[in-house]
Amino acid sequence: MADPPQPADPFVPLLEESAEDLYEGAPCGYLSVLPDGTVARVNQTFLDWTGYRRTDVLGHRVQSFYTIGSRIFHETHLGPLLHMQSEVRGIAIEFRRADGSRLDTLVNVVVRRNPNTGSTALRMTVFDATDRRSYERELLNERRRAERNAAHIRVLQEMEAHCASIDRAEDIVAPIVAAGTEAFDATETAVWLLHPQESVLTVAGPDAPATAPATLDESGPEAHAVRLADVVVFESPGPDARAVTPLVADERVLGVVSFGFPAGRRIAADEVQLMRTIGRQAGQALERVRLHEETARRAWQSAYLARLSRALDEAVGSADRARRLVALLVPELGEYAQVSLVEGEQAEGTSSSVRSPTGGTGPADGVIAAGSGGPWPISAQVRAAVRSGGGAPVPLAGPDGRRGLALPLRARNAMIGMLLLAGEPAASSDRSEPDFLLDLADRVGLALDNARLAEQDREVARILQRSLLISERPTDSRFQVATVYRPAVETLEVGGDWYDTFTTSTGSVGVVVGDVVGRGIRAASAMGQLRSAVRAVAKTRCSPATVLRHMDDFVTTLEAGQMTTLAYAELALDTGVLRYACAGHPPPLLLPPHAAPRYLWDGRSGPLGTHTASRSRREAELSVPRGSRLLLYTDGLVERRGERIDQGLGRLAEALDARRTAPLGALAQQLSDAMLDGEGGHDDTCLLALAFEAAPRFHADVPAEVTRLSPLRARLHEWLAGCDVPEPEQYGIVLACSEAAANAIEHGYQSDPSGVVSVTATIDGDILDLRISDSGRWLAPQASADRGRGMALMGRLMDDLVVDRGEGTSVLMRRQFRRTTR
Amino acid sequence: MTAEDRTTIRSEQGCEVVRLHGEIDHGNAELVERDVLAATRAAAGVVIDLSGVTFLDSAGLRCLDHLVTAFRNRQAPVVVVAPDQGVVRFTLDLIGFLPGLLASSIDDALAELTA
Repeated sequence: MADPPQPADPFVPLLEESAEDLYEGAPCGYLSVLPDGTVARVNQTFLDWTGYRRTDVLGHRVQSFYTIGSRIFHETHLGPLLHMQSEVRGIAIEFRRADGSRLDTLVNVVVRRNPNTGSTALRMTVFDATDRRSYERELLNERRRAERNAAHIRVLQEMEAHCASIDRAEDIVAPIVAAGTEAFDATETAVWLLHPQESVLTVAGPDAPATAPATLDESGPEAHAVRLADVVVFESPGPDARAVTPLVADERVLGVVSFGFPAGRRIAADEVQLMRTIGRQAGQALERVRLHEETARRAWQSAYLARLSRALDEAVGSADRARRLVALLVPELGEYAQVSLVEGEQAEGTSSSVRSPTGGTGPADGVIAAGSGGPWPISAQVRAAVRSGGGAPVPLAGPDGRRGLALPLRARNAMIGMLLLAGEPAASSDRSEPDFLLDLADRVGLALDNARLAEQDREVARILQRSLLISERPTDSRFQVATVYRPAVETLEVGGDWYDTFTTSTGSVGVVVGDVVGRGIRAASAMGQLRSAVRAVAKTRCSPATVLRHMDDFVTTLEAGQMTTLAYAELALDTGVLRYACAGHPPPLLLPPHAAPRYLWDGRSGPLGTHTASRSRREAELSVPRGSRLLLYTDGLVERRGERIDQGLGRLAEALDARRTAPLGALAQQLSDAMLDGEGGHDDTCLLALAFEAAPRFHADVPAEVTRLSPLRARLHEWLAGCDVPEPEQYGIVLACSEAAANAIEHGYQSDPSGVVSVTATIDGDILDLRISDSGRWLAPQASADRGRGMALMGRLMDDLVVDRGEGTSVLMRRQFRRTTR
Repeated sequence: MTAEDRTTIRSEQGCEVVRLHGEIDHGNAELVERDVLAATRAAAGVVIDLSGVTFLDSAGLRCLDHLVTAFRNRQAPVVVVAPDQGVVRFTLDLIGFLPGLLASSIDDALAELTA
């Protein structure tokens, strides 16, 4: 900074001024005014400021140069003040210039009194206050603005506080509307949210009017604000004014807030600024809520999918899985759900006509649904749309007008069915967004298809097993066989258990029960091969140990047959000699006719295909009496969780002993039921019971009445059929028996009904022996043609006929018949 | 079994066709014989149809014997129908009974009587 300016010579002339000059050129206006307001004198400065000529002013009242407001002020304030205190200072007066503009001034007024005359005059000094007034005005404006800003900040803070506490997107509407009302006195505030995928704005909020969605290319202010991503103000030409601010987060527009105002309302710049801020803040809150919602939704969705997968895994079979699926979908994802599985449309040309093994509604039987209002018919058009839709949900309308979505269920590049969802989900409609549904449908498709394939496997295995187990079975009156096979209950899965019965070339019956390791088709097919191999080997003259050695060789070529266990026994039907061998298999259980059951613990060696076992195949031999029963079984029958194997064997022996007199078929069923009762059946089980029959015997005591002949014949007929006596032979035997019995009744007892005719028949192999006895007293034989005819019939029907008379009479007849069904 | 169940009689081509049903044995042969003789009139011919008979013993044979004799005494020719392979034919063949009077079907029998 330079030295302060010195009073320099050039100013000296200016300082030597005359009083006149000082008056005229003073830095203030100077007016002398008479008491009535007439201007008596005015200096040049005032004239310069106001643009009047001196003559314009002198002789005129000073008030006439005021503006209206100042004139009133002069009358009401200035005049009385002067009157009271003779002097006022710093009064703001507004003069009207010659050009009509205003001059803000501050005026000092002093009343001068002439002591001589007593008259008074006013001296007014006028200071230009233009700058000062505008400064004051500015100050006032600033204060107003500051106050408004404070209000705005409060509005913003309130809105922010509200926004921070919401956790649903639609809840953002209320604080925004509140802010709009409070900050701008908006007559109407609407929040429009942008749906990104659809590029559509819709009015949000619980009380939202039913306004049609707006697309982004529309000309309305809302769409315009989205495109512009900034505040849009529409002050005209419509009947009302409108300002729209975008909801922005991270430079993205999420929606808009539209404020409506009465016509003519001007929107100030700071209001636009505030709207912008509101848009940003609300946008960020919206974004946060959306993220929160998104996170919550994803969490729910993944938990739901996990729950669904678990539930589906627990069910066996595609029909059961489909039932579980629809039960889980309603009401979580809709009010109605329906699954229809496509049959026979696999990508590969494999047959898939698998029926539900449980006998329930199979997948082929159509639609499985849950919820109200079904089933929905699905038109071929929808079907085609779903098929070609690439997985996208296809909307459709139901019979009751409800909206629904059809989704393809796909697996292994094929559509295996269709899922239909209708109505609103239980909670948020966002739950059923397309991506999620797609994911769900894919998982479900795979789960259902897996179940279907498993069913198919099971079914194939089952068919295979059944075809193997129900093959031709030897019939012989000297033995009887009953079998039970049960698949594992839990999985319905067929394992590798098998049984077989055949007669050998040496007149023995061979029985075998085996257990291939594993389950399903592989085990079933290995079982089939092993079964055939045992049969082929054993039918020739092989001892049980030799059969096992051959099987050891056989399983070296059959990987799935390794570690197979089996029990093989053959019973010589003529001698009752039983030879048996066990390869790692539970021991056979023998029930002699009049003794306790006992396990046959001899003849044991290891499972098939084990080296040490194959070197030491052993067998055992014992003689069993007629009437004995022999039980072969797989370990599933005697194994129970939490029980030692010897306990299981003990239970089996007890169960057998308790049912020793039961018919063989019933015995096998009852044993199986008793042993598996209460057990989950985690393994398949197989049971074979062999009865070494005593010679079949028929006996009847018939009262001596001819009317009893017909029932006798019926009983004998039935017994013969049961003993597999060939049909043509049966009639002749019955006729012979009937003739002999009729003779006994008519001739032995003379039809006295108190007499008893005793009829006994036995079959040993293919020899029938028939004995008809009475204890009557025969009259002397009459040479009757009738009786002779009866005897002649008997003689021709039977091979041998002997009449034995002693205490009463016995007729003995024998017949060797030809078995045709060998 | 009542007589009506056992025996049905109808006229055909001037002949009477007597159809027997069920079992004919020692228990009912005499009743059958009586029923049939009581129910038939003298006719141009009589057919005794055993197609529905499921059992026939020596008493049944005697019954047939008596019926044939009785119809012959009434001057009515008789034919007995017993299907080939049937149980009745088996019994008749076994004993060599009435070989000249047997026919395999009613049509054959009627043809023989009306020839």
